Amino acid sequence: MSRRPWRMGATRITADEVTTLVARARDDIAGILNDVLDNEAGLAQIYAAYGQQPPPKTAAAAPGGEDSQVGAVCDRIAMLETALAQAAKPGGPSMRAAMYLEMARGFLFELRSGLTSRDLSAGDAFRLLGNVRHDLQEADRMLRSEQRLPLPPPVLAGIGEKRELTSEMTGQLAALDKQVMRLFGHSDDPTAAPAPHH
Amino acid sequence: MLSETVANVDFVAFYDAERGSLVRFVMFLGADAGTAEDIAQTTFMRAFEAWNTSRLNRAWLRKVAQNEYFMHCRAAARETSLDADPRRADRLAGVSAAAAVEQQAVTREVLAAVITGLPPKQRQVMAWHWDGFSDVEIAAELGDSVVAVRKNRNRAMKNLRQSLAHVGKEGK
Repeated sequence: MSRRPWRMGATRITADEVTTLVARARDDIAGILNDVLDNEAGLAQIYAAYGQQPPPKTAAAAPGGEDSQVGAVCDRIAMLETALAQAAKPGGPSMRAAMYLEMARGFLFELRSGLTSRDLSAGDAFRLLGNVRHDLQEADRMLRSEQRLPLPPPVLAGIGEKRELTSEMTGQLAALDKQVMRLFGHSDDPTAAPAPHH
Repeated sequence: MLSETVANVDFVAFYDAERGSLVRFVMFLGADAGTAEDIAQTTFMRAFEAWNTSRLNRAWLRKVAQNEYFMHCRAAARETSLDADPRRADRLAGVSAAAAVEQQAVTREVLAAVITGLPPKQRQVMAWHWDGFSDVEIAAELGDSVVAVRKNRNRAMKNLRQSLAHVGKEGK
């Protein structure tokens, strides 16, 4: 009778070990795709299908080269900054959370400026990322506590939307952590980044 | 909410930031690298059409890509819509990526365990989960209950703990 090899002895690894293996595989695949995908060609194909030319990039760079990697990271940061600016607009619900979101945006701006001008050390980059993570966590903590208050439904809905955004931003930040680490040639666990300093 | 703000961001930046992770997402659904690249490109074509008019975010991309992949599987007359896909050789980047994945023992084993070892629903839930979506978000996007999502995630993890046991030991 044939049995699956993993049934023999019912050996199992822990859930943490599975998570580590999957994370390693995902990182490998991300690195491979980063090397082989030609985004300029892909974009040209899309724009051509609609009879348009892709907009010129600010800095011409070879796909997969250092410049394009920095550009890709900066583009992602800019996208996060835009989202945070929207969420931190005055007049919305939970001004204290908005304040943290605004601070997170400021750190992202610092990070992007430093990467663009090439005068940022790895330590500074990871410190800024740590600060952003900390501010997002603080914003989420405040929103969570305000959700328990007896507030009018439209205000509660606004708070819920902001929580949704901070959760989405935290996910995006994890991907950004990895991109920045790759940029500096690190492969460490992003959670090992230095503690935040305000 | 993020989608509304993303709509104001340059499409090029969105494409650069999300393309790789979308291709990887489709690979974890069961596609080979070439098909995943095709599906991702088709998804971005749709995103381009809908740019500035629709809610576009990471979830939107994944939902469209997932539907594209299901349609692709159905078109390939598969018995079930999420069965592992036959290899394609018409995408240069996909071929290079597939070859590179073959060289990475752990990555190859993890992909095999996910694609051939997990039932379609569990694979689908895990693809979303590993891309950072919460159970609540996955439930909303897949039209399932949170309990069902959690159950599928737990079962998938149980399966992977067994099927990856040999990799975990060798990898140490």
